[in-house]
Amino acid sequence: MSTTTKQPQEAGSNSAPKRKLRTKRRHTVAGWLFMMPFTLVFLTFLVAPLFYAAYLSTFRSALVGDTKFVLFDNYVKALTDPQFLDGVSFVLRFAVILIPLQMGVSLIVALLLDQLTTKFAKAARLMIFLPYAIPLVIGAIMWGFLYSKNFGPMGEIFGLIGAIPPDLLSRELIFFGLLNLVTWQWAGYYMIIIFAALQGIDSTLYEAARIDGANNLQIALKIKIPLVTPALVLILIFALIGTLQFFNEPQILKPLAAGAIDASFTPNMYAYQQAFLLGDFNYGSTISFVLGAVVFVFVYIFIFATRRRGGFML
Amino acid sequence: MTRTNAIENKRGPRRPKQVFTHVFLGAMVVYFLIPFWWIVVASSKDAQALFGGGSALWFSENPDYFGNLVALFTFDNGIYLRWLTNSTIYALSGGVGATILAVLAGYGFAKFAFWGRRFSFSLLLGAVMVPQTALVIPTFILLSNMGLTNTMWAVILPSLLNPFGVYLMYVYAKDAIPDELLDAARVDGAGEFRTFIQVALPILRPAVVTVLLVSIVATWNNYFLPLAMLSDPRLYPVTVGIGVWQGLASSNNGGGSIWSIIIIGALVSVIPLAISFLALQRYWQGGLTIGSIK
Amino acid sequence: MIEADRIPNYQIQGALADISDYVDASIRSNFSDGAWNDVSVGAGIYGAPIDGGPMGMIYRTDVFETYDITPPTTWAEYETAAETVKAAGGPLFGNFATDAQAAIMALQIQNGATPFSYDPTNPGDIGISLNDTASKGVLEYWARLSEKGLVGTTNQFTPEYIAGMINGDYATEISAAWAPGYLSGAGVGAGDGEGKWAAAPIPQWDANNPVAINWGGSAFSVTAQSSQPELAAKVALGLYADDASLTHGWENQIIFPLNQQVLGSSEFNDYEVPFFGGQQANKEVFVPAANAYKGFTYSPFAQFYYEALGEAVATIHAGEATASEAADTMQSRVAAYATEQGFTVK
Repeated sequence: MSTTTKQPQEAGSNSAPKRKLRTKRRHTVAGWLFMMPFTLVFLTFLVAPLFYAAYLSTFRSALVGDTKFVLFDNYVKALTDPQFLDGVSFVLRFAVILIPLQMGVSLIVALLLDQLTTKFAKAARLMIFLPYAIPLVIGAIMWGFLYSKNFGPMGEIFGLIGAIPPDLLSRELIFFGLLNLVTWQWAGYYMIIIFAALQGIDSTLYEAARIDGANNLQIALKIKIPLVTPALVLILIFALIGTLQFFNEPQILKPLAAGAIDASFTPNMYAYQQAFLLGDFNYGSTISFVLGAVVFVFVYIFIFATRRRGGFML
Repeated sequence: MTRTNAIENKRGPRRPKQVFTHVFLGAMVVYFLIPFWWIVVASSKDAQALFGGGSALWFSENPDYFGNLVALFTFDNGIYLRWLTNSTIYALSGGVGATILAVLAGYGFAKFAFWGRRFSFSLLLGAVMVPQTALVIPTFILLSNMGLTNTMWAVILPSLLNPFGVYLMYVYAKDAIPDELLDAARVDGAGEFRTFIQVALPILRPAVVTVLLVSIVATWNNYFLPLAMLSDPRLYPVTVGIGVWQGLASSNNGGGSIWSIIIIGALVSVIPLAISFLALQRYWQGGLTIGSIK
Repeated sequence: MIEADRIPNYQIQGALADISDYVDASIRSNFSDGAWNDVSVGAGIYGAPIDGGPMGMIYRTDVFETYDITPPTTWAEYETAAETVKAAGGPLFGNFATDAQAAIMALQIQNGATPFSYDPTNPGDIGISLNDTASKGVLEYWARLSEKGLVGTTNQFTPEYIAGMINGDYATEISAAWAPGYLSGAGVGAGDGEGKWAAAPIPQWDANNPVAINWGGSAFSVTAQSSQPELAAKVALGLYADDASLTHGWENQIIFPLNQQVLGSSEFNDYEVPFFGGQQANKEVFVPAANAYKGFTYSPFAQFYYEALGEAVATIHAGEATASEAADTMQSRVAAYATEQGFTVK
């Protein structure tokens, strides 16, 4: 029978609207049933906490005295809090440098790996992806040791040319210390995403381009990169979210880099300090909320700016 | 496909560039592998050798992997093994659970034009953007009110939430499963769920495996969530455990001798995932295509 | 079991039970006045003392020999000795870290400062004095020493510092009685470095008015939620009277027990500490320091205070502020926090 597949498009038929309604109802019931387990978890662990955080953020607690309802005062306090603002400024500056760097590295490596098919290339792909398997915690510990002047390799390598190794855990250079750590951790993951996208490109396009006399570089620039733009946009969004939420690496490195990394180094760290170290859940929730709002705003800006080239179907 | 390119590259004036490419890639590989090499080397050393000079990138004079391993697994009544077990439990249950939820929901989004779908979808996309760490504090309080903090559930339940997994499944299901196939099954009298299991699921397998791998990795590597939720060291996953040891070693507790077990503990914790990656290359290399090309 | 300097923070949140009722004269005599002061907030006692950290100075005997130094007894002598060693091309004399906040506070109190005054009978009032002359004096002293290159600026509880200690980069460490355990466990004082360390009393600001100071310490506290506070208190006060674990602890120099029965024993006093090459460090340095120690008044927000102090030192190291400015900044930060938390700052 042809009614089931074609009927939504049929116009003018007497029973089409009725059948459409029945289909829609059946779809709704079935659809919601499939959605239900996820929706339950979603409501419990995303929506409810968000509302609760909003609720908490309207109160203020103190060591002396009771908890008071203050509506938006905490938000005013957060938005004028120099520690919070410094943290936001840091993650923004960090993102501006980190994201192009990461994307550049992963893009170039992916392009190169797409071009070669040697066994070496295949192995390289795997090895560059491997850091993704490492928990950030471990990666931070590893690099914490590697950065050490005294017993990391830096001392030896720089000693070879008689220079003093830079202290990437110092106040001045911690920016670069973290830059390196995060790039190392994530470039492989982004690289694989781009690589997979590159592999999906129809190679006849390349042949056509070669006939026109294009060399590899031109092919890369004019064909490959434009065609993987959706993947690049995806990575950009991931990287942006992750960087604005920066927490794990600086938190782990903090004992090794005391003096360079303080408790409010990133907004997320500040929220953690307030809530779990100083016991102020109200202000901690406020900070989390404002941070969430900041991320939301920036990500939406990006999605909007790349809506034609991205794939986010908004 | 790309093989044609490679063959063409091997001829003629492309040669020098080929060398350069290989060298560059080689340098990249070295860069990405140095920390692994370091940790393998460092695990052979005891505290004295670690801090007392000698090359950082070469083994100790008396490599003592066995001794360090023994120390690792006997420290504090063998709590490290407990941590490894915990990580496995969390990763598997959280990962599998999240995948099941994501597959069901993604399929639902893709194949059923239910009432409220558009709105739900934009909610979902919004959720992808919500920083997970922003949720930890209120989730902690919520779970604390339910009496669930400091239990395994406090880690597993929130890990079931993987909006990006839903998105991946949605994209894949939408394109890979023809509506006609489903309708044919329905016409044959199959219920929705049976249709899903017997018709859709086999087609969805590559995506399912990808989501599974990503979810397992994410849960295994999770640090902030268990850090906030758990205070009983016997429930820690390996990430939090090692982090705590590192904090201990940095402060004046612990007698100072635990740096060597921190290092070998880090090495051991990395091995399961690394091996899984190597063994399951086929799946994740194919699967990550979805969601990135339209 | 909690750190003594965190007791006020828990006390003000009502988390701890006052066990002073269960401390009779004989129990009282088990610990020095200083030890009891550290676990008290005002007149209430909120923990049973276990271990402490009487401070002293540990130094490299070989370095002192090479450069012909006798252990300095005042900070002025310390500075002079440091200059002598530097001029002769020797190692750094000591270290000024950002993560040894409790030690810095102790040094300031040694100089006559009273960073915090707090009486729980007026729980809303607190005295905060972090930028008076005495406090600034200490910061300025160490800032000057680090500026002159006489001491290092490495963070103390890092592998970095340990490596430095093993390599003999530091001639002294301003330390506490538990430090040898920490250091030797990390490999200091073994191999080449064996037997090269010795302990001496901590230098004084005023030779005529020696002040004993303390770094760290723990106590067993009874939670306010305990349904049987008397029993719990008994347990807390009696714990660690287990000889075996106690002995193991102090023989490995990991903890310095405060129980007078141990401190008075000949076993403990005559113990020839291996880390110090057999020196009877307890008798010579740490027991006298512990007994002379009067106790500190800690703040009810140690976490915040230590963060602020660490940040202050960091700004000094980075040249972003002078010691005086850093102290002023810290004072206003901590006072602001206290006010925000509902205190009235006096």
